[in-house]
Amino acid sequence: MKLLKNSFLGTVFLLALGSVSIVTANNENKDLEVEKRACVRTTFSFGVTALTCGDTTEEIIAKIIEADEEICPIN
Amino acid sequence: MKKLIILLVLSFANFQAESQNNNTFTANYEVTYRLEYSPDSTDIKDKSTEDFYLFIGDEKSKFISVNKWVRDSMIVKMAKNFNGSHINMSKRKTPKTKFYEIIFKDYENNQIKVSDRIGGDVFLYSENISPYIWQVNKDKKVINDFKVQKAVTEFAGRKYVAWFTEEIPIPQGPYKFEGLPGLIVQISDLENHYNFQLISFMELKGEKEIINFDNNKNYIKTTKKQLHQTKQDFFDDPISRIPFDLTPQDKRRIKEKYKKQNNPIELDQK
Repeated sequence: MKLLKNSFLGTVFLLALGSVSIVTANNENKDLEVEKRACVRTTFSFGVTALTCGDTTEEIIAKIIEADEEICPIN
Repeated sequence: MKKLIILLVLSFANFQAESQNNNTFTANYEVTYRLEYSPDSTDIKDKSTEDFYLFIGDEKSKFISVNKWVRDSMIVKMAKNFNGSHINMSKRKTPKTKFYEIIFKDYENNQIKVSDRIGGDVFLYSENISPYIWQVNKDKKVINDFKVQKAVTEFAGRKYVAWFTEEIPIPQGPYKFEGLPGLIVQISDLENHYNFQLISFMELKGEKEIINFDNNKNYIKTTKKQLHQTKQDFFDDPISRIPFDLTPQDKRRIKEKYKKQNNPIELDQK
């Protein structure tokens, strides 16, 4: 299960979770895969501060740079 | 036991080396093209420019924006030096790009792979390398000291005029173009919305390893048509994907910015 896919930035703190086992009403075990994600506090060049999340440091930094370029006025 | 450990270490080293080889190819040539284009079809006089590298190997090639290439190397360095704390973008300068697309051609498997970023996600689609139908003309002239010859084709809803040189007998060109008896020195559509011109050509003496596609990357696999739709949806409503409050002024600015990006190079998305 992807979390916060399709968004520049996310506001979820999920660090190093593996998989979660849930027992349903029918007593079936269902493994829900939860991806490892980390979030970094980011101040964009037009002043807004938010959290940027991703699976790897490179992914987070790439998202930050892209979001800054797309959202902020010419910088 | 000692022998087993040595065997395991050697197997792992071999696996690592093979993985490395599968992720890179050796470029023999580095070509730089400058694209002059009209991002807004309602204002074609408003031109933008961006430079691109075309790395050519024996069986593979990669086409990427120069600024994206530089930026990707910066990201790797920043990630290595990152200490896990706050990132402040107002203190950083990174090269700007309007082209997140990377076009990777694999002639062994007759495939083109294209990756693109939209709203923070990275998409990947594959298509077969289909031969262009070129009509080679007798017209000749000189561009950038190269003797070039004219050829015309149609691609993705646009008609193109290309000028190729047999002085460099490599059947390659910018973007997805290829299949002429020599390197494409210039190619533009008849309306001149997209015009690529060669600005440098280098034969690489030393081995230059180029990463083709990082298989570990979290790509969202898609098709060309779906990707176009996703991009269109994003351009129509970019604000919905920004999860923090923006001033009405910022919202207006961002909407206007994307509204002006309405003239993709591929009009026909089949």
